[in-house]
Amino acid sequence: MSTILVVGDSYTYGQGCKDRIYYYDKEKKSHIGSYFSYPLYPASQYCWASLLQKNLPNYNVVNIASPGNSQFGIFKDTVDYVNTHDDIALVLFNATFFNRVSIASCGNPDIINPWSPTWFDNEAELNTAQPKYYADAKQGYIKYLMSDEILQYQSIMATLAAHTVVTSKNIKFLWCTPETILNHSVFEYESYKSLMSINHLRYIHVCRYDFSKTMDFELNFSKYHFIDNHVNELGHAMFFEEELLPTVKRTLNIQ
Amino acid sequence: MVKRIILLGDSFTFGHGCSDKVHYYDPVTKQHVGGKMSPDFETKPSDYCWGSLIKKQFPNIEVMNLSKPGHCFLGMARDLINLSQRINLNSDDLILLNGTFIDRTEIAHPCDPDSYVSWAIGPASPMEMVTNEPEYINAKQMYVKYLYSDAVMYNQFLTSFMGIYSICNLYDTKFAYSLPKNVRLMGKLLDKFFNLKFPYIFEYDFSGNNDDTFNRTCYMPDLHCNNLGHEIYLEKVVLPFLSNKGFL
Repeated sequence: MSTILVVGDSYTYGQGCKDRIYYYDKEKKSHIGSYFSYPLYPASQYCWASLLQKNLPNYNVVNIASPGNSQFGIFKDTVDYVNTHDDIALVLFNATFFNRVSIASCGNPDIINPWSPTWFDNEAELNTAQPKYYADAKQGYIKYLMSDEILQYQSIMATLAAHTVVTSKNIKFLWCTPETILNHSVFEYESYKSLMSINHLRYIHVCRYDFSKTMDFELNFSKYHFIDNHVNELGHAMFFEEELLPTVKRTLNIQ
Repeated sequence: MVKRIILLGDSFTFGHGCSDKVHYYDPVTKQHVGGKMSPDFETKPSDYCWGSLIKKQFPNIEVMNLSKPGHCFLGMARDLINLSQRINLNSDDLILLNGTFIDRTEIAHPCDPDSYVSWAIGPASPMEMVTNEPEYINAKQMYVKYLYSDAVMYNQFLTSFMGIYSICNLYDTKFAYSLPKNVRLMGKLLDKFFNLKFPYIFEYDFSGNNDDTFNRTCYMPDLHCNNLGHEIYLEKVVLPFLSNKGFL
C-alpha cells in the first residue's frame, strides 16, 4: 500500500480540534487542555490528514506533524522518513512560519528544540520555568542577532531542499506555507520569488483558507478557528472537502 | 560546452591569499599583514584565483565569481537566488558550489539590524569582524554557550546545499560542488551527488605525493592558498574535472 506522508506543525497536527485542545488562558494565567504531541500521541482524528486517511483507504496516510515544529524540523522529519521508507506516493509538506528556529534545548545541546522569537513575548513562555541564562540568551538573540531576512532565506531553503530530496526519489511533492508569500499577486518579500519555481505545486495552508469565500475574516475566525487561532474540526472538514482532497486526487490521478 | 560558469564560495574561491588579496593576522608578531590593497579589495575576486584563471584560458566562457570572504552556505544560496532574479539562468550555465565550513552562519549586522553579516561560530578569530558594542558581543557569546547546536548548523548546511541544487534543477543549469573534508553529505544523499563532487582547494595535496614542504609553498601563513596553489588546483583538479564531465 502506498504512503502519503504529511509533515508540518500544530496546524497539520490538528491542534484546535476538539480532541487536541491546548492553549494558554491569559485570564486564568494557565494552560487549558492537555499537551499532545507526536509521536507520543497521534494527530487529531478530525484534522484534514485523518479525514484523508478515511477517504483514501487504499493509501496509508502517515501524519508526523508536531506542534511547534520549526522549518528545519519539518525538513528533517521529511528527509528521515523518505530515507527509511519505501513506496511513498506523495509528500504533503506543510511549512511553518519563517521565524520558527531550532535551538539547543536548555542544558542539553545534543537535543534541538523548535522555538519562535514571537513566543518570547508570550505570557505562556514567560511563565515556563527556564533558567535566567537561557531566557537571557534568547532575548540577546532576538535583540541583536536575529534578522527576518536571514530567517526567510533559511525557511525558503528548507522548502526547496525538501522538494529536491523528495522528487529525487520519484515521489510527488506538494507544499504550502502559512506565510502570505503573494500579496495581491505581488511578492510580499523579494526572497519569496525563488519559490515561484515550485508555485505550481502549492496548495493553500489550512490557516489561510478563506472559509467564508468572501474574505469575511470575522466569520472565518469565529466559526472555523479555535480561540487560540488554530483551525477547529469544522474548518479542517471544509478545508479537506474543498481544497485538500481535490488537490490530492488530481495529483495522484485518483478518480 | 557551457557558456557561463557561476562560482559560489567563500574566501578560498575569492582568492584571499593571492598576491592581490593578502591580509592576515600573524600570531607570531601579533600584527595584521597586508590589508586593503585596492578599493575593491573585499568585493572583487582576485585576478589570480582559479576562477579568474579559467576566464583567461577560456575567453569564450563567461565566469561570474560570486564568492565572498567569510561566506556561509546560506549566503551562497541567497547569492544564487538573487542572481536568478537578475539574469536568465539556463542549461548553458554551470553552477560550481565551493562550500565552506559548517560552523558559519549569518546574523544581523551590529550597526544595521536590517542587514546581515557572516559569522564563524567557534574560537574568536582576530580577523573576525568585531564591534565595540558589548551587548552584541555578549549576545553572540550567549548564543554559542546556550543556543548553539551542531545539528542545527548541519541542517542549515544541508538545506542550503539542497536548496542550491534545487534552484539549479528548476532552471535546468548544470551543477557540481566541492566541500571541505570535514563537511559531508550523509547517508543515502551521498549516492546521488557522488559524481558531481570535485576536491576542495583547502587541504588539497598540491604536490601529488603528500610532500608537506612543497604544499606549504602553496599556502599563505593564514592557510589560504596563494597564486601557486590556485594555478596547480586549476590544472590538476578543476580543468580535468570540467573536461571529464563535458563542461569544457
